[in-house]
Amino acid sequence: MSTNPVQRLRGPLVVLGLIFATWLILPTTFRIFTREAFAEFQAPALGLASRSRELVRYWELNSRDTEELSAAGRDLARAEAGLELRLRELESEASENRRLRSMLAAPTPPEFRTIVARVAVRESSSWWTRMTIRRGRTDGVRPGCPVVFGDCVVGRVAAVHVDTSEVELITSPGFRCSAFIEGDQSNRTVLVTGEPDLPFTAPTARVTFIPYEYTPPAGQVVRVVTTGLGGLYPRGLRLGTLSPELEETPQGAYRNGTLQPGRELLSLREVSVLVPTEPQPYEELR
Amino acid sequence: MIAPEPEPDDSSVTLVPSARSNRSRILKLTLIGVAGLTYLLLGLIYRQLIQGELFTNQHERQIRHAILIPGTRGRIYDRNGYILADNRVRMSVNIDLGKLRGPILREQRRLNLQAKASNPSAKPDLEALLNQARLNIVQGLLDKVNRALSTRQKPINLQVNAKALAVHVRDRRTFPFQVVTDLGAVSKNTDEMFARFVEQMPNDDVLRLDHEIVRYYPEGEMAAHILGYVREHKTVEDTNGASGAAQKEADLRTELGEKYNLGINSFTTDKVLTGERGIELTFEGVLAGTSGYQIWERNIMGYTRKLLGRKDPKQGSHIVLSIDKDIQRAAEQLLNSVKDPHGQPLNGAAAMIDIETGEILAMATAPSFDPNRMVGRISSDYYDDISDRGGWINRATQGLYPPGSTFKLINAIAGLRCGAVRYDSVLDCGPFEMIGNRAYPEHTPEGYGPTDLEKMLIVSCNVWNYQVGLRTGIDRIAAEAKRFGLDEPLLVSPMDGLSEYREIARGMIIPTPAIKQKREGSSWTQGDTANTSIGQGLFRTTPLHMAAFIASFARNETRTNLTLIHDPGRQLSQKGNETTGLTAMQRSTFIEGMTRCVEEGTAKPVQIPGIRIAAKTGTAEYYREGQKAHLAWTLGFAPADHPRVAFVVCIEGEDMTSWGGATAGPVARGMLLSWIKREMPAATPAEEPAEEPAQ
Repeated sequence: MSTNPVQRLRGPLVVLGLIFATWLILPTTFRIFTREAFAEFQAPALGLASRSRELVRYWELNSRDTEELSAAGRDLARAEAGLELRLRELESEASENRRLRSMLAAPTPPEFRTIVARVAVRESSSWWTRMTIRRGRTDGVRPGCPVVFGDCVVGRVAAVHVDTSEVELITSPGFRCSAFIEGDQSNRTVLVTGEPDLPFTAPTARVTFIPYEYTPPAGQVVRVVTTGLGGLYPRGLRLGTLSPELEETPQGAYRNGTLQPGRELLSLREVSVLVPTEPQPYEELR
Repeated sequence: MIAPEPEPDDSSVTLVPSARSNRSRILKLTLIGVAGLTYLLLGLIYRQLIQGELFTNQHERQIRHAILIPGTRGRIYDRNGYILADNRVRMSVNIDLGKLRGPILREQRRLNLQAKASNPSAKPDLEALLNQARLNIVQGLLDKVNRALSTRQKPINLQVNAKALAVHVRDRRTFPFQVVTDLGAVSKNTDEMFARFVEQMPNDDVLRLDHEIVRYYPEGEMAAHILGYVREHKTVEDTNGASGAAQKEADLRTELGEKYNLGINSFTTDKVLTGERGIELTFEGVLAGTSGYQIWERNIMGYTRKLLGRKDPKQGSHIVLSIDKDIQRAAEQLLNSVKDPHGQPLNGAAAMIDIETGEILAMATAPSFDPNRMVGRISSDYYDDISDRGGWINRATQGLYPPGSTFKLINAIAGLRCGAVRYDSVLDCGPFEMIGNRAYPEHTPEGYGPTDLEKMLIVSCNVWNYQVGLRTGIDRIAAEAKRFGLDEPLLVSPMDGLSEYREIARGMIIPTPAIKQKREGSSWTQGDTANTSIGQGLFRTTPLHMAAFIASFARNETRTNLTLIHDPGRQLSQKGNETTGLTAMQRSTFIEGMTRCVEEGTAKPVQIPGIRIAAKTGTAEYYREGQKAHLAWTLGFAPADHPRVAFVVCIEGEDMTSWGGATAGPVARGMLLSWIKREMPAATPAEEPAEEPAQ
């Protein structure tokens, strides 16, 4: 047997090269099919791993002190009562909004059905760009649908499989969304785009087309929220906070800034997919 | 054991050449081979070492291309920091045709097969099929945009302009093809269109959202004649050297040509904006930015492939005008509200000047135009409409009018200075003055009787001026008018970086016998002097000249060099300036007469409770389309005792129903009120509540 490492590796390298070359010349349809098939094949494993983690968590919680759990239960009941009250208020406001819209013959914003989904996997190599959730086509998830956690935008559905979906996060370079800067009197629309994930840096998104006359109020947190104009995200969802330092552009007509996404994005376990009740153009255009 | 060598057989035929012959052939072949190789080697050396640089240069020149990006224009502010000319982002949707080569070729093949199937004998025109394929693919992408932008209420159906696509492929492959020039023009709600595109369309680099910076005038028509407007040119060459950046760009081309080895045809300029009128034109060199560039490597088809270098453009400098937005707005609104008896708006001009600095606070003219509509392609309907209404003329600086009774101030000064009349002389002023065999009338049938300087100013007595004018003589009257610079081109002072003053008015006439002889071929008469003494006849001056005159008079001087550029520490130029030469009594009589003119005389409509205003009105006769009509004038200054602002209003009446005080007075009053609100809020009359300044 040869002791030369180059000679030993020659065989596997040639095979790998051949496989790679074959992959390159295969028809696109076949490649897409293979990719989809792999995703479907992988999905049960991902689901199983995710459920195992939940089981671990369940037994961890189950081992807690009864008093601690009852205190948490009491707090939860109080929070629920508060939320019930808030829900009534919102329902009343929604009804008033509907009445005003019908009076003004204003277009109705798209209505959404919420699908709660557990995060199946989030790989460290693409932590800030993509994650997989445990809801898919069978649950009614459609491509392009917005994904939120509470009032915070997480991203949008990039690909849908049978039981899982891939979510493109707001810090992914492929993400973009129109937004308002809270407190900006001119109420002009800005653009939020994800930025490439650089090693050893905090994940951020970029805010462009900030009016040059806008100055962030000193010492205050400035929230960037969705406009609701694009037909994708409901109005007023939080995208993150605007860094106080704004960057001048050579054109001088606007400035750019950095968006710090919500802390929730770091450790997501569960998200909500907002599925429009009626199909939207973006579902076909993607 | 070694076998013995066989004996040579002489009888056999030798087929193998002799060793000598072989060597000779091999030598020849070797020589041929060496010569061939040497030739190739020398050729290679020649190509590589001697011609190598030339080929590299040629290759680089063929594949490298520079896109020059003009700098954004500087902003124009009013004296209080409000923006009068700004830049806004115009969103466009572009397609990178270079990335669509594969789909276009596939579509061309499909069309070719289709053509062959329908008519097997015909030879298809491949060029036409390629164009059609390109159009189909681009329209397919645009259809996606249509779907993304459409709402249930408003479906969008944008179509590709086939001709523009063909021109683009021929001439501008370096740039992406613009399928939607302005998202804002697709629907009134620009923000919604932008948001829909961003959120509905996938974020890829084939169909992409780009932006351009375009000029924007947030106040619309306001101060349009001052600001001017800009025009969009496709190249610097199209500007015919008008671009302030043209020279800077020529230098940049030379620099880039040397640095990146670019040929003369390796440059393309993105759209260039140049000032066409007003401040935009006058200060083109200041407002125009400095161009940046992008150096691209192009593929064989001419589409950009790789960015080799770039430099961002620089924005031009900002300009702060002396204009006060609120006063300017008030002046324009009031001018536009002046109507003839039939309800038709009248043309006119109004100006207000800071007496101490010569800064123009407002300079309005009606009718006007919207400079925002000039930025792109001006519609012929709109252009014709402005032309028909006479909207291109800046009446404050280009309108040449007889000054009418406002000139009586200068006639009186001339008379007082030469001793033709005293400030307290009382002249008998009947209903007319006979000069030769012609009666020159007063504007009331009864006449004013005994009249002194003060009364003349209050009632604007003609006969007093005829008498004083005749005593003074045309030479002294004309000299006095010239002393106030009424026939000299007005100059607007430069700002840093400009070497010359800019002329903003010309063509004025102060009547003299020589001028009359030259223009009409007839000699001067006493009647001409009488006419001139009341600002009629051949007299022509501009409203801004009269504003400069009254500002100078308020300071007891003769010249005010005006400026449209704000400079709080500005010192007035003393060039040609001198004191009026009036005694304190003469001057106080003037001010008293003009103040009483506001309180009880012809300038009553200017009156504002709580502030003493000195003013003089004038109703000059002129011919409008062959018909006699009145020009309504009002000029003055305030406060009367410590003058700070001077004003002038001139309105072109359609007929004889317009009058100096009644028609022009309210405009002057409105401007003054606006000035008082800003400068003397405590003196603002109760019935005119102070408004919050617009943000």
